[in-house]
Amino acid sequence: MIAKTTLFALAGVTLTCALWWAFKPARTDDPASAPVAAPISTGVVTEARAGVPEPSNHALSTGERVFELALRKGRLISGPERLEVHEGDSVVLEILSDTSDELHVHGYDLRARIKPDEAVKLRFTATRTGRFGLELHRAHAELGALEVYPR
Amino acid sequence: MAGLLLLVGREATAHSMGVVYNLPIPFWMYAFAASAALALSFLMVGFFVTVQGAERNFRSIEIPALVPPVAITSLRGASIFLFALTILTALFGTPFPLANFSLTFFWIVFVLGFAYLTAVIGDLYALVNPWRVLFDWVERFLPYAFRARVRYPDWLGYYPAFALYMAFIWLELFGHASPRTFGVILLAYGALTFLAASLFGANAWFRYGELFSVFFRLLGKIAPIAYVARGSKILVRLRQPFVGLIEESADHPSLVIFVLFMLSSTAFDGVHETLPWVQVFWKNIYPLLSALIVRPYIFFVGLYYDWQWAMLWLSPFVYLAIYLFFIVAMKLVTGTPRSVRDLALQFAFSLIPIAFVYNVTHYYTLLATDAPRLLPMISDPFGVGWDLFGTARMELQPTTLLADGVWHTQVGLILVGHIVSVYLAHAQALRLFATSRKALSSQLPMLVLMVAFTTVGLWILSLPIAAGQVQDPLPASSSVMPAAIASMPVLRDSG
Repeated sequence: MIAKTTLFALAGVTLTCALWWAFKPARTDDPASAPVAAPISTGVVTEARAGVPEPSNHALSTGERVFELALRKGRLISGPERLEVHEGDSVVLEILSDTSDELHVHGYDLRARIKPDEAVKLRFTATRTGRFGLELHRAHAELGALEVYPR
Repeated sequence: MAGLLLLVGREATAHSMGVVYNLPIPFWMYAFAASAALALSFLMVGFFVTVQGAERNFRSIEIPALVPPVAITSLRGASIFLFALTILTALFGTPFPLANFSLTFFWIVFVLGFAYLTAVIGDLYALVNPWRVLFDWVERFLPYAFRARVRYPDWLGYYPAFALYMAFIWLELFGHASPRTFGVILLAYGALTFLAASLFGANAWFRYGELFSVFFRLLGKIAPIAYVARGSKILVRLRQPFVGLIEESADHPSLVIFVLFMLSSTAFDGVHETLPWVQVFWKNIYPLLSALIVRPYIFFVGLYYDWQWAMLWLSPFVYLAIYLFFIVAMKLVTGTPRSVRDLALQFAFSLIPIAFVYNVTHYYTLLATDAPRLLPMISDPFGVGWDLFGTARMELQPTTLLADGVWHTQVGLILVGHIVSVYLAHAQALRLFATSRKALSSQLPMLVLMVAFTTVGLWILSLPIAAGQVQDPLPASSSVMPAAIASMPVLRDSG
């Protein structure tokens, strides 16, 4: 009885492991997607410039992801609602809004002051994986979410 | 109008407290876990073909007088203290939810943490239930205060607890109560408990009507420890984990619905903010309705929430219909003289492991990320600037768990819950049916049902999450909808 139970338990574990190996996708080992080692909050730069943002240069370096978000009255009028990046990417958010507000990236606890009609850049490295809300504090609105997937 | 807008803004947070940082599980992992659930189920069938009986799992040891009275007294004291602190901070503390002790303590520590603890150490709540403690104090002066004046009606069963459970989940998902409102709700719930207990007697009400007593009693059946009252002594009984779930069966149909709502409410919470679900309304229902009724957009936003609430309240009955369908199939397959009602009662508790792991996979990350907030709060529970233990100004690093680890934990837990449920149902069938052949055939419909519940649970975990509850219905012709939004006042908040 005990022998049989052990046998079935072992068979179950083996079966589960075998299925896991069978379904697990092969790791892509291309160097371009290798994690970029970078410190977390020290990499945050908030730049503010007057006027319209200059034409942004997407993919400036390996793994750099630039997202342009345009806001009107505390609502997203252009730009993606879901910002999908991978662990280790450096992320640049360029925000242009018609009202002053504060953008809060949950989980990373980054805050960027937004002034009317001034492009604001928020730059950080996506070190934590997960789904993090982007919230406008004054408008009390969820703009979208940053989704950081593991490599 | 402004109230509605406030509602829309508040809905941004996914749960009454805090935000869940879970990413949807990748498709391969969903496919793996679903096939593993299926394969392991068949392995379980093979196991019961060769090993006909599970009775040796039901042995238990009673340890006489292991719980010293002083431990019970101090736990009851702690319970009353925390209960009083929760009510006082809710009513008189800061109105800012994240700085007020009451909400984090109730939603995170009590509703999640204590529930998971109960599944490990048994139904402690029955011993330390703060209302029970209060009633015991009252009875010292008024010995007959909580004896039954009216006999608790049999037909009522656990329906009061079920109704309160539905209200409770609504409060959790959609209530977004401020500390003040929450305090008032707790007091009102206390008043209800007091009245009902003095009418039907405390014992009847804590058995059938008081939501948390029923909820924790069911979860406590998972634990390897049970507490048995012998006169004034509390004895400890040790048993194998999970077998408490088939030591006794559901004794009323209402308890079956209660168990199914444990499943469906978590499934609903998982699904109600995902992209496919939100789109059902905005892509399918909204265009139809807006063609039929000419109303401003904000009217449909209100309607959307009504629809969400209706779906939440409908969910246990949908699950009940599915459950009964498979129970009828079981009756047909086995040709047993037992009634459908009896079979439904006998197998209900075997679903609790699936319901429990649903709950853990959905919320354990919330417990990990939000419970540390209590550390500064214990020094300043009212949020008025105290610093009792020197922790009030602690800077907390945001805790988030790594997505990869979370996914594997979720999938692993769901598989374990599934296997335990399948095992329990088989063990139960072997006791109910005369021949082991009948018992095994009775489990084929049950297996399909459990694989379905588990796959649905996994599937929900894999769905992409919507960025917001209210979708822009006409993103292309931006002149129609944003005009309505633009005309609404932008809410300002001093905080």
